[in-house]
Amino acid sequence: MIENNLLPLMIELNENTDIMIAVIRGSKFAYINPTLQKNLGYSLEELYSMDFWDIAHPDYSDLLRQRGWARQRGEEVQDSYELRLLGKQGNSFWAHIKAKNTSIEGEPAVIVSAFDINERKAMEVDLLRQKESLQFMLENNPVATALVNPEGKTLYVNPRFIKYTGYSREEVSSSLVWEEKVLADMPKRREIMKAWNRNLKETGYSKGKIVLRRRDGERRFFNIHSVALPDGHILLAAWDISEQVEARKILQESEARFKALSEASFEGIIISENGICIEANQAAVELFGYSREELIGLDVMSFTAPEAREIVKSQMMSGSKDSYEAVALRQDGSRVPVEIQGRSFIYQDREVRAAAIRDLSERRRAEEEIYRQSTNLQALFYNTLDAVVLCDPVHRILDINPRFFELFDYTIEECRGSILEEVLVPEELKEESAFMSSMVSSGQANSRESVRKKKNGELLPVLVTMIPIANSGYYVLYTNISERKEAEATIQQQIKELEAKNAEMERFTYTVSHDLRSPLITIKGFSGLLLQDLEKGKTARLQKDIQRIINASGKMEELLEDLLELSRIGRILNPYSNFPMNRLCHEVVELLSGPVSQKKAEVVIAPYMPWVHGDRRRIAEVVQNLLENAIKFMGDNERPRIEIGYFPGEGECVFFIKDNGIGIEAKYREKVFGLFDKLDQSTEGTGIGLALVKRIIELHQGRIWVESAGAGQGSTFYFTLPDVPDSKKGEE
Amino acid sequence: MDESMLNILLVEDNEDHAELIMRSLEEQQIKSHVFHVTDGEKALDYLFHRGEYSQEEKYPRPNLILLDLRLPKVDGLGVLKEIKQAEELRIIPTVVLTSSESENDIYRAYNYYANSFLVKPMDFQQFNELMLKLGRYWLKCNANPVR
Repeated sequence: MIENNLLPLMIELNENTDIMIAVIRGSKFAYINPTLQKNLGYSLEELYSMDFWDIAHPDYSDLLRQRGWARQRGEEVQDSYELRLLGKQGNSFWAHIKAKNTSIEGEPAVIVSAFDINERKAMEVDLLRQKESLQFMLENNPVATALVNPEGKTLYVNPRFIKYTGYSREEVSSSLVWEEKVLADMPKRREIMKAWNRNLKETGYSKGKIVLRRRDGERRFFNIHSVALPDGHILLAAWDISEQVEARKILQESEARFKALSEASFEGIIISENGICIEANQAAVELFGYSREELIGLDVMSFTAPEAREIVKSQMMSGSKDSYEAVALRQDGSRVPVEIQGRSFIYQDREVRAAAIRDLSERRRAEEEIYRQSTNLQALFYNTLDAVVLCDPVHRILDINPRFFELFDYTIEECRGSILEEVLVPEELKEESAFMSSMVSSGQANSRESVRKKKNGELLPVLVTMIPIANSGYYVLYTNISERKEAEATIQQQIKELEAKNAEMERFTYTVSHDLRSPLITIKGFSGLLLQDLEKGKTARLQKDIQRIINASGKMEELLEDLLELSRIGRILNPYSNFPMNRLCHEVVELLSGPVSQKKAEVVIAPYMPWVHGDRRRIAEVVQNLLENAIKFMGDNERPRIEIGYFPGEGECVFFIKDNGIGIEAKYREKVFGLFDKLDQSTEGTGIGLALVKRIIELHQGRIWVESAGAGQGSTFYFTLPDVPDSKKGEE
Repeated sequence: MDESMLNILLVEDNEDHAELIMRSLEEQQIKSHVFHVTDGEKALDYLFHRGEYSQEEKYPRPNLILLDLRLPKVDGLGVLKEIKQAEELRIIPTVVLTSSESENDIYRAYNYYANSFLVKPMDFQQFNELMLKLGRYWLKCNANPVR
């Protein structure tokens, strides 16, 4: 029992504890402590008038009533239990009750203590609700989920797991099953699982991608996360990413395809988004002179020339698909003319614009080149010194240049549409012309010197050059070569003359060396013989041999004099004058009157002979020489007759000296003019006479030749001198 | 015809030179008979027995021809050409003996099948020596086809 002096302390405790305390006697309360009264919210008077079961929640008031009465009746009743109480304000709360039998004044009573377990109860309910919702979440989670215990045994799989994998919890119970079945398609799965578990142990977390083989054998890609729970259990969450993987693969492939395509393109391709370049191909890199990395992220306008920005901008804004021309600005500042064709579309979920950009500079250059060439061609056509005619494939004249008119006198109006050949080609050259035309028609340029006919029928030597134009006719160029032809003829003439001169020079040196040696051999030879004879005292031949020596010396002197004379003709010229041949001939005949009369020759001089222009003294020498020859080779003719005459030639005067003497055989007609050539060794002179005559005539641009019917038939020597214009006559 | 003797046709327009050649051959005691003509035409007439030389007995074929090049009417090369084209004449040794040293002449002479080309020496002594050698060579050394 409690000491009496402790009683107030006990009362104090009852009054101040958090525990609710009541004492029940019969159906009423014998004591209620303040904590209980406060929790119930009733006044003490109300409480003492109430039955003790009235404080329980209606759900529990029967229980409380029965147990309260039973305990007072002394029956065996549970000491401790929980129930809900109900306050005055309708507030209910859980309480843990402990009841103990007692007695008051000999009558059974119950002492009850109770403490508020409302918070605990609320927590319990919460926990249950949480557990339920967790279950709900797992059951309905779209992520496949599994719970594995530390030993690797699968404790739980959610329906999504079963749906995804086709395996039930029982089927994937052990880690061996996982390895053998679920991850059968994973390469290196054992190593990966080890690493997985290690990582899980160390960090409490592991995630990655796996290839999972479904129960039906299909392979799927999964993203899998696992978390180590505090109690050592492992929670696995996995979701199927096969479709994403597939989609990405397709996307990657299409990207690769696009890339390959765009890299293969000769056109620059720029993909832009909101005016910023997000992709560029190699051709674009080359076109703009930026690296690909530089291009990407660059404002499209920064590689568009300022003058083209307006059009580029409007094209991009309008989303036009039409191609247009613009000017690209390269990194080095240079400009490139380009053709752009753009197109807006969706690329990787973004609205972008792709533009194909073609470098036009080559085309521009080609266009400029064509323009330049055609301009040049025009200039050439109108200004060339050649006559040019343009013909269509069937040889009709399409156009002529001004020079054509100058050369052939035809105007374009006169010859347009005519067949070229009919206009220009002389009858006798039709065949040649047809051949040339056929060549040019087969695409072969050809050129040939020929003759073409002017409008007035005059023939013109021309170089005809035919130039085919691919599949559309041809040009014919006519170069006037008449002057060249003349020049060529002159050159040919000069070459001939030079060759003749050269040959003459050769003959001359030969002759000189030979003819000068001859008398020397004689002189030395006979001098030797003379000495021999003298030594031997022979005198019979002395006089004759000495005479030979004297003759040879004389001959040599003569030769030297003649040579000097010949060289003088070439070098020393008397001034040319105009003089009448008639008078000159009379003078010469007068000079030779001695020999003429000696031979009793008759000399006839033509009554009319023209004036000539030349070295009068030399021409007199010519006539004299020819006259002397005529006299010398008169032979035995009893009535020698020499005729000096004239007849006009073509642009020249022909003079002749005709005799009826011994004549000259045809084969010697050239030889007589050779230096020191004599047909008869017995005649006087060195044989230089005709050589000299020939030289003089040649110096006067004349010709000399001899005609004779043969031996004994007489000879006629002809020489020509150029005509003198009338105006020059009478100026002697 | 005496085969131990040179029967020479001398074609030489220069009387003095002909005299020199003949005296020289005589002096060197070369057994020879020289028939001298003064131009190419005569030479050919002689060889072909034409005109004044038509009597074969009187004008026998020589066994050596000495031919100057520079001749009136038909020159030496013309004569040479005719000789070498004529079957009955081409075997006769034909020696060009001229005052020309022209390479052109030498070439042309051989081109017409001259058997030898000799240049008349200016020096008297050398002239004599040449004639001696010429005579000995064609008389003694050379086997003569003309029988």
